Amino acid sequence: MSDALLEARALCKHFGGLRAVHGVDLCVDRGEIVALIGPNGAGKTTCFNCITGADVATAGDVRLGGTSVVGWPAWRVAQAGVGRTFQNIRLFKEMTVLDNVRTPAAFRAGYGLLAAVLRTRAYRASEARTEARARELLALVELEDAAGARARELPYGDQRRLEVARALMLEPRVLLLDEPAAGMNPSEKGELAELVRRIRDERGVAVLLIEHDMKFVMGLSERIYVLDHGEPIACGTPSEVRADPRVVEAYLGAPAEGAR
Amino acid sequence: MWTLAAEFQFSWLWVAEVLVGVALYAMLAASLNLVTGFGGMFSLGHHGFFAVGAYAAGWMASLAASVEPGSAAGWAVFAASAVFAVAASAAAGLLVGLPCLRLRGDYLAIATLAFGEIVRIVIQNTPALGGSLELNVPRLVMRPRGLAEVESFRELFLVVGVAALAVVLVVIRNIVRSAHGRAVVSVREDEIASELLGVPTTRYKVRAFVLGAAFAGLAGWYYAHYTGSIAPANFDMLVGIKILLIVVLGGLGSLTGTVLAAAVLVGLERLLQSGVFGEDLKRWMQVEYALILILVMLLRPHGLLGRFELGDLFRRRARGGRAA
Repeated sequence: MSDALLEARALCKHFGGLRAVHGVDLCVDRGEIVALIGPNGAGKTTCFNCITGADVATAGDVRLGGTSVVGWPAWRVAQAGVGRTFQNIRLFKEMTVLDNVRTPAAFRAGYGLLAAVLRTRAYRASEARTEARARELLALVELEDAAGARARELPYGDQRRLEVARALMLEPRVLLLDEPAAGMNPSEKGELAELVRRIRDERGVAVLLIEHDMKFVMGLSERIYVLDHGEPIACGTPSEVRADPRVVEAYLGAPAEGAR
Repeated sequence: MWTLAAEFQFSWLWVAEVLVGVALYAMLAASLNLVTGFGGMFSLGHHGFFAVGAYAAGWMASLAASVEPGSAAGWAVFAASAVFAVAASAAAGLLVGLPCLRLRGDYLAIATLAFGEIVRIVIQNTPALGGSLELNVPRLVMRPRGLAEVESFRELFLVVGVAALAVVLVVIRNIVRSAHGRAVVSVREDEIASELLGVPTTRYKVRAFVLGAAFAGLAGWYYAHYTGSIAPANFDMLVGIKILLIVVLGGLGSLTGTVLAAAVLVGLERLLQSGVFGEDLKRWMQVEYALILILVMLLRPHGLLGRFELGDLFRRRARGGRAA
């Protein structure tokens, strides 16, 4: 097949009679920033859930680096290189900020329970490595000073950035961001866009994001997919999508006289 | 008569027995804290694993009834029975954990409670384990006869108990602070997020559950050899509830709190039983016990210590008080 990093083909997710996602094709290449947009209830998060294994797709295929990941448990998809954040923040609230970021590295720890109990040299070396990487990611999202705080104590915007750092700990090939800018003010959104670009440029991580803020999406993404009622209605560059009458209709209802 | 009884109550002999009880319950509660406090799995059947360990150790000891107490062979069987008890209860933990850990919250509590009862009833109907009567556990390391020997027997077991408790606490603490421990705690915090961040949640839940069961088995080994006779009635539901009570009272996720709560609860129970506060208070003991628990939970809803650990004091200072 193609050499796309992440590819969804004819993805369907039906809940009984409800076609939450129907026939969605999606593709993210290495080093791309791609957006998935659409009105509320269009099936964007359901797409994310099917890609990450949180939901099992009714039909269709999801490929990561050419390998089908359909039917894999979510943890295996994550370990294979798909990191994500959540629409409603899902941090490990009672854990410290540092521990939140360290957690996804467990599968790379390289030592067993016995080594942990005995605090062997391998254990200490692995823990030191993990902590250094976690602190580096905290520095990236500008939370290094909050490392010892509990996650629930952070302000909202910081919690969103902490989720990004936590997902990056997986060393993902592609990062799925579910409404990362929700609830942020314009200056925070600007910083977030900058952060997403840095993640792509400096770490080579491709990004697929869901977002409602059109200014944010248009300024950041190279390609955009548009969903409505679970079905794809358009895709292309920001300017192509902006000009597409079906997109305008989906967002604004009936095509208005004299609309752009 | 009252003074005589009271003098006896507070002799070293009495104190040693209370401390043995504290060590036993601290061990049980610490093992449950790994499951419930750190792993977030609500288990009401921990006494089942306690029973499996006790009967495994007791059964093995009964095979060595002719061994001279205190001989090298006696100590060897004593040690071997610990390994056997831990293995048996870990196996039971795996058996229960694999199907039950798909359940959550209340449902898991009911399933584990049922397991605890099943263990008790199986023992009751197994003549080789003494049925509903007692299983005599032959003495392997010392046979206490006179009062003086009883005292040194208790001292010996106090040392064994404190050592076993120390092992349990250090193992749990070291695991909780490792990458594997963080994975277990993340499951408690948000199972879905945990799974989507690469943590095989079921595998970690089963691991924590099996480890908790294994330590409860160690406590069973300790109990069987200390009392010298065990009966199904020693492992009823109330024991399971008492273990959970200590965990909640001490603070879910605090090992220091677990030890403190075990000391407070067992100490309080024995003090009320001793009748030092007069016969009236002794008669109403169960009511007072319950009232004190209600009071503690009202005043300290997250347990005596919450998630605080003794070690936090030093770490916080080392980081220049930056722990927010």
